[in-house]
Order: sequence, then structure tokens, then C-alpha cells
Amino acid sequence: MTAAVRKSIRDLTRRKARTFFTILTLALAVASVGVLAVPALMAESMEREVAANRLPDVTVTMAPLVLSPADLAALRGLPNVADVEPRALLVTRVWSGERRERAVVVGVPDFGRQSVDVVSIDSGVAPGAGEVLTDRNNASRKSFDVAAGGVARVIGSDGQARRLRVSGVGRNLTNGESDLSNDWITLYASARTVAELAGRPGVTSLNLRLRDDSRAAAERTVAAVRDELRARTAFTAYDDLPTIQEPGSYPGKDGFESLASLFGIITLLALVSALVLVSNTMTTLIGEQTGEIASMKAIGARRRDIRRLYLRTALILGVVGAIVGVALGIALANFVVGYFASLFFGIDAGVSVSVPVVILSLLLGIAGPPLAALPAIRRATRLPLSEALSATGSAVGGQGRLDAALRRLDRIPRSAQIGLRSLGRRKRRNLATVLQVAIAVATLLGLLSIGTGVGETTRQWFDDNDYAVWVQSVQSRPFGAEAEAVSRAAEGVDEVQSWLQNRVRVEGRDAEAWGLPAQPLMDTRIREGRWHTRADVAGAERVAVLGPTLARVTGKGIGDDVVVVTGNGPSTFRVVGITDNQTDNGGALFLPLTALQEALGAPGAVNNQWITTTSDDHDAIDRVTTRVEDALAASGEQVGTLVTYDLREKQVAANGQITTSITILGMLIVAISMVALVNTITMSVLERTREIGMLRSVGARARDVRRIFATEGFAVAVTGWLVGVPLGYGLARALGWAVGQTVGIDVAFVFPIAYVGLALAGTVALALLVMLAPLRRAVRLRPGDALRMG
Amino acid sequence: MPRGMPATRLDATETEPQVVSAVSQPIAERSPVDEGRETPLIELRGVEKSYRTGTVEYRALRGVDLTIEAGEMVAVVGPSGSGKSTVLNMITGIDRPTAGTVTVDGRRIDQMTEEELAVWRGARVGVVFQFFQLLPTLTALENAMLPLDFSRAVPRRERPEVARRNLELVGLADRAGNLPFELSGGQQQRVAIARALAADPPLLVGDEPTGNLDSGTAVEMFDLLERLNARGSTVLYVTHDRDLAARARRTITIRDGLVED
Repeated sequence: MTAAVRKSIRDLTRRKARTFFTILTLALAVASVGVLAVPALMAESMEREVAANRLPDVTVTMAPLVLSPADLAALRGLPNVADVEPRALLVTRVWSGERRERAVVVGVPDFGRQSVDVVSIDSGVAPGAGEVLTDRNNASRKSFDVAAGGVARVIGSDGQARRLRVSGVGRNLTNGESDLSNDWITLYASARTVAELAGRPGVTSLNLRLRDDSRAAAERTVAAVRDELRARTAFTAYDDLPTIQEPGSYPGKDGFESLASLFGIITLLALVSALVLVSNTMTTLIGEQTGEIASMKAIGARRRDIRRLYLRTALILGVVGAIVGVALGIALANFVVGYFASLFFGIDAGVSVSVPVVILSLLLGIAGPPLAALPAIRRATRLPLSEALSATGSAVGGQGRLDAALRRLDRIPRSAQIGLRSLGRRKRRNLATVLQVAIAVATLLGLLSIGTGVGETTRQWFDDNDYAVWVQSVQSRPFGAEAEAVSRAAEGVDEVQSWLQNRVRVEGRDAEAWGLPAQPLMDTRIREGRWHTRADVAGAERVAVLGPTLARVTGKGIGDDVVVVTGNGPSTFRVVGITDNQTDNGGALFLPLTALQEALGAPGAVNNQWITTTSDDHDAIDRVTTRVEDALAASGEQVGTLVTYDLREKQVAANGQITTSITILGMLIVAISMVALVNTITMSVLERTREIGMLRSVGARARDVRRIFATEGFAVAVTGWLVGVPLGYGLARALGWAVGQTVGIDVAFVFPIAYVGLALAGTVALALLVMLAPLRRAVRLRPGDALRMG
Repeated sequence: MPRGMPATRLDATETEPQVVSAVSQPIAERSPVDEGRETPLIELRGVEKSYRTGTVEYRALRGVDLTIEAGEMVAVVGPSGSGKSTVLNMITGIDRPTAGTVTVDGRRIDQMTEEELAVWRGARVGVVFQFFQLLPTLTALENAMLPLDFSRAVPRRERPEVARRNLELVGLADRAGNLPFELSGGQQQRVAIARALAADPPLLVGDEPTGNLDSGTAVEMFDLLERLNARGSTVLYVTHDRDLAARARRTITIRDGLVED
């Protein structure tokens, strides 16, 4: 080992605390890059899950249809069809404690031979007659904690509860995946059990895997399946628009990727903060060595010799920091993926590594410190020799305008004055620390703001709804003619409003179409133009109101025509209004009820009811809901119900989970800023060790020394907070815009003053905590030892 | 209290030392030194000091016995590494002995806590460092009154006046508002001496106080120390300069960690 390499290593081991903080900072910076791997790792996990589940490329739904093995074989024989798996779905209710919760029972013909949309068995055995599997998410997210061996009380279409033994725990990506708004209890049973519960046999959906999964090929296959079914059975039409999975997509992918784009913002902030800290630390490290550099120059070292020496030191730091950082980054990325995979999809993501991100992290970690050190090395090697060699015994400081301003604060105790005036002694480092604290404060304020805004928007959406109960038919099949009268007759019902919901395509984009009356039981929130009138409904006028996202992505405005494709073919509507309503993330299309019925070729068809109740009491609403469900079930309708107050609470809680997760990630930035603060105070103590010795020699007590450095630390922290508040306001605006662009929701902007106070309290408390160690070091220094150091 | 010094209580738990009389008298009015003092001001008995760095142990002092009377002007001399500065550090409490006793002004300072030592030094000892050790962000006046700010022995409004008089004593009254970087080396050392005089301590200690000054300035500085000794302060200093050592009334030679006879 050469003397130069030994010097590099000794320079690092000589100042263990400083070296530790530098490596920690660099590791945090590198780890933050690791978060960029999250979308790719999630996609990888989901691809494995999709492959294991054999996710369908196309799903079509219909009224219960009995299919023989020959029928299924004929469907499998169609061009482009790789495999077909029938399912019989029953939407019902199940007793959970003393409440009846919405449930779906998925009927699987043969658990042992599933070719598409596989229901996996996590524990237990496949259900036999009179048995069910409970979905793995039922217990964790939906408070349905009947375990294997227990009994599920499932209500059949005749309104009677059947006791079905739970044979095990299963999971399925399509039905059990936890899109956070899905709070249906999911059970899996044999097709026979579902037929008994439903009171009729027959499949209600076909899941298809295709050889060519392109959109055009998928649409041709959908048409071919329809024709084949018409030819062989009593089938007439699909219930709803077929679901065609985009190649490479999976349920919930859009939502997760929108969230992941927010991660990118946080990663960028963390990276900027960490790089500033690394640069600052390298500058301090080189700056401390000015005397040594001068000595080397005095004995013949050239600039390139000195440059090489310190670049080597920086490289050693970089290698160690990069290795630690990559390990941290892998752990962090897998933690985030695991958390969101469980939260969103109820799956175990496992552990994996993104090689490109690891390579990027290593490059950043290794190259970062040398690059960051270059300006400081350049300054140090160009400093005139005489200046570098001179030792005055009094460090430089006190010469600028800031220092002059700070000298005016002479009413406070001397030790506090010394602490405040020290701010001007390492302006660059203190400024960098202020910036890092500011970034942390801004991030916290921005995240708190967006979290509150999302919650406000959610509450607003529910507040816009004037109904207490929303009744939906199973798989959008139309209600019978008497359904409205049946509901109206139930005790406690005040008003029933029937309407039609259907999935359509608008200008090539999937959308929810709501056919509504002229005065729906919701706030129409018209932003431009108008809502449709009674006359429009009476005349089945082809007019449309677009949701804000739909209007933006299609570019359609008032007076424009939009082509709406339904299961019955295309229809043209004229845009008369644009609403701020956030249904379907702002992507819904609102039509007069009669116009949608006409476009679907289904006059009089309705498949939803909004019900208001005579009482606002939650228990009363629950009772009305039960009565309506029972009455409709008795009249042969298969329905599910959404109770507004309950859904609102669950949605707000679900949104809170997401914003909490993002906030936890934002803690990474707070951690970096606190490391910066510890670094700054520690460096300050280390640099002024001899000065501490002098202060103790002239009578300073421990509390005086503590006050000096604590004042400096608090001043940096509070200044960072002051700068961070306006930055946080700007970031809150930017995050709101980003969420709007990616998720399609117009998030309400909130920036409460209370959060600003909370950020200050948090900054001061954290500053106090992280300064404990360096302050303890400062006061424990013996004067003799301190004077010998430095 | 023959010299009208403030009788500060040296208990480190006290927040406000009790001031019997403020140090507001001009220097010239102080009482002469009491030469009839029975016990020496400084007494070291069997003092040893070892430093350990890694596995290496270095014995800086190997059993030093010495006494210094109040009012003396003593030079501590010896070759480099002999332990001269270590002896000074023992006397000021900046370092602790690994064996032996150190008694200064009647107090066993080897038994005092760090807090007690800090308070005691602020009131009873003025230390002058070779490299001045002024705080760069404080003016000359503020540096000069720093010990008073820590000891709180003098009311706040009187501290500038005390510091100004000490600056006048060292010939820098007109540079009170200057920062250290605006002063020459000699001027900075004068400010350091003014700081050492802040609490009017009975003992002034300097470790190579003129070591960083040119010969002319060094002579001026030494003249100042002599004047301070003449008015009653005990002055103890380490020096390599034979001429300066010769000007002391007494010389203690340290060699290989022991006092040379």
C-alpha cells in the first residue's frame, strides 16, 4: 500500500464521526435512487402473479347461461381462443357478526382443472358441496374473520341464510384483488353450490385467454364468441361491454402507476437534498485539509498529485457509501413494493432486485463524492501557499454583512450571541443545511396538504350525493319492471330514483356512462354549459355532459359531437355541459336516461336505484337497506347495496392509508435533513474543539458551551423552517396538479396554518433530538484534550 | 481580601456568584501583594501525568514537586517535550494529574470537577495562549469581557467598562470595536491578555505568550507582564526565549518530566 493510499485511509479513520456521517448521507442518497425501482419491481411481481393466475385477456358477462361441455369445447375451438374458463357469480350478502355485508360468491366448475383466472388455494382444501373458500383479504380488510373450519352464513337468492363450511383460504387476482374501494367479501365455491344459492344453474361470465391479445384481435374474438353462443344456446347479448385487458396490464395497474409517479417526485427531492449534503460534507473535508495541502505543496507536491490524493479519498468514501446505499436501496424498494402489493393487491411480492437501478445507484454513489469534491479540491490547490500556511490562532469569521447584522443582537446572553454569530463562519455549509431542512419541511407540508386535499375531495364527492343507499344490480343486468315499486314499498324509504349505468367507449377510451334523470339525487357540479333538462329526457335527446377528465383527454367541448360505442353499436351525442363531478376519476359520461336506453336498444332498462330514507340515523339506514335487499331478492332481483355513510368512512380511511404511505416515504427526506443538521453541529464542534478548550479555560460552564452550539443548531433549523413554508406551499400546489394530471382527480387545495405550526414544532423537536449527541460531545471535552486537538 | 477582589463562591452549582465588591476599581488603586502569606500560592507534590495514545503510554511528568509564592514572576523553561506546558496545565486545571496533588490558592484543584474548575478558572486564573485563541466573531471589547460574561461576577452594564479599562492597560483602548482579523498578531495577544485580566485574577499563566510575536512586540508584551506582576499578580509563563527567561525573578527548569535542581 502506498503512502498516499495510507493517507487517504487515515484521513477517513482519523475523523470517525465525520466519516460515518458522510457515508450515511451518501448511502441515503443512493438508497433514495433505489425507490426508482419500485414500479419495475411491482410490475415484475404482478407479472408473476398474473402468470400464476393466468389472468384472462377478455371477460364477457351474460345472464345465467347453461353451457354444456360441447359448448365450451366449441368456444375453445374458435380462432384466437387459447382457453376458456366459465364462472358463475352470485352477488349476495353474508352475515359478518351482526351485520349483513355485501358479498360475491365465485362459482368454479373444477378447482383442480382451472385454465384461466385461477383461484389458488393458500391453505385448506378445495370446497366441496356445501363448502366455500374465503378470500385471503376478507379477514384483513373486510372484517370477515371466519377462518377455515368455521361456518359462513351466506344468504341465497331466496333470502334464506345457508350455513356453508369454510374449507380453506384462497385468492384470485380478478375477484379478490383489493382495489381499495372494493369492500365486497369474496368467497369461492363449486359451480353447483352457487347454483343452489342462486336458485338457478348457469354461468354468468366467460374468461378467455387469447393467442393474439392485441385490441383488434380481442374485439374480433369477442364478436366470434357472441356469434357462437347465439348459434348454440339461448344467448342473445352480453350484459355489459366486454373487459379487454391491455397487454402487460393487470387490475389496479393504473392506480399504482399513478401513485408511483408521486414516488418519483419524492425520490427527486430526496436525491437533491442528499447530493447537497454530500457536496457540503466533501467541501468541509477538503477545507479542513488546507494546511496539509499547503504543506504538501511546500515540499513539492503538484496540483495533480494533491488532486489525485483527495479524489482517491472521495472515491473510497464513494465505494463504501455506494455499497451500503445499494443494500439500503434494495431493502427500501422491496419494503415499499411489499407494502403496496399487500395493500393494493393482497399479494406477497417476494424479494427481487432491479439490476439497472442497482447499476445507476452504484454509479451515482461511486462517482458522486469525487465529483462533489472537485470544486473544493480546486479551491484548496489554488489557494496561495503563504495564506494556507499561516496560522493566526483565530479562525476566520465575522466579516460579512450577515455577521454585522448578527452583531447587533447584543441583548441576548453572550453564549447565545456566540452561537448565532457562528452562523456566518461556515456560510456555505449552514446554507446547505438550511436548504435541506427547508426541503424536508416543504415535503412534509406538501404531503400533508395533498393528503388533506384528497380527503376533502373524497368527502366532497360523498357530500354531493343526496341518497342514503345505492342499489346496484348484479353485473349491470337490468332490473325487472317492478323493482322500483318494490323498493318504494319498503318501510323507511322516502324516494327511489332509478337510472342506468353502462360501460361504453368514448373516442376510443373506456368510460362509465350514467343515464340519469333531469334532477338526479346528486350535485351535478356543472362547470361549463348545462345539465340535460326534462325536455331532453322526455325527448331522448342525444346530449351529453362530460366529466372533467373525459373532457380533457378527448379535447371535446360544448357543442362538439362525441361518438359513444355501446354493446349495441355507436351513437353520436352533442356535448352540452362539462361537470366537475369526480365519478370514475372524472372520466364519466352523463346522458339523459332515455337517450342511453335508446342507444343500448333497451327501452325502459334501469340497473341502479338511488334511495333516500325518512331517517338519517345510521342504524335506521341499515335497516332500510336490509328491507330493500330482502324485498328485491324476494322479487327475483340480484342486487348489491352501497350505503353512503359507510362507504364514505371506508373511502376516507382507504385514502388515508395511501397518503400515510407516501408520507412515510417522505420521512426519507426528513431523515436526510436531520442527518444534515447532525453533520453541521458535529462539524461545528469538531472544528472548534480548540475554541471549546479556550472557552472552558476562561470560565465557560457546560451550559454555556451547550447554549452556544444549540443556538447555532436551532437557528439553522428554524431558518430552514422559514424557507420551507413558502416552498411547501409551492410544492402542495405542484403535487395537487400532478395528482390531477396522473390520477385525474381535481384535488381540493388546502394549506392549513395549523400544519405550518406543526412543521415548526416537529422541526424544533427533531433538531433538539439530533443535537443531543454532538452537544454532549462538546461539553464532555476536557480543556486539555481540546486544546491539543484542532 | 487584601487586594479588593470580588469574593466569588466557587461552587459550580451556584447560578449567581455572590459579589462582595465589584471589580470596578482602577488597576492603580489595588493594594500591594501580601508578601506575608504563610502558604504558597501554588504547590505541586509528586505530580505525574501520563498520556496514552493507542498502545503507547507517554509519561510527560514523572513526579514534579514545586511551590510558587504569591506575587512571584516565574519562568518555566526546558527543552521541547520536557513537560513545561504540562506543568502549566496542571496548575490551571486544564489537565488532570494521573498522580500527586495540585494545590492552588488553598484549593486542591486535582479534586475539583470540570464544572468547578471552569468556574474557578474564570475567577482566579487568567490564561494567555500562544496562538491568542480569540473568538473571531467577537470584537476586542467583547473578547476582553468574555470571562465576566461567563462568571457573571460583575453586573452586565459594568462589564464593558471593566473590559475597556483592561484594553486601555494593554494599550488598545482605541481598537475596542475591531474584530480579531482587523488586528495584528501583537494586538491580538494584547486583547488576549486583557481577557485574562477580566476578573482581576491573582494568577496569570502564559504558555509561550510571546512565541508568536516578533522580538520587538515580544519585549513590549513582556514589559506588560512585568507591570502586572509589579502591581501584585503572580505571573507564570513558559518560554523558549533565554532572554525572556532571564527577566523572570525565578526560573524553574523542567527536564524529562522532572524539575531540575
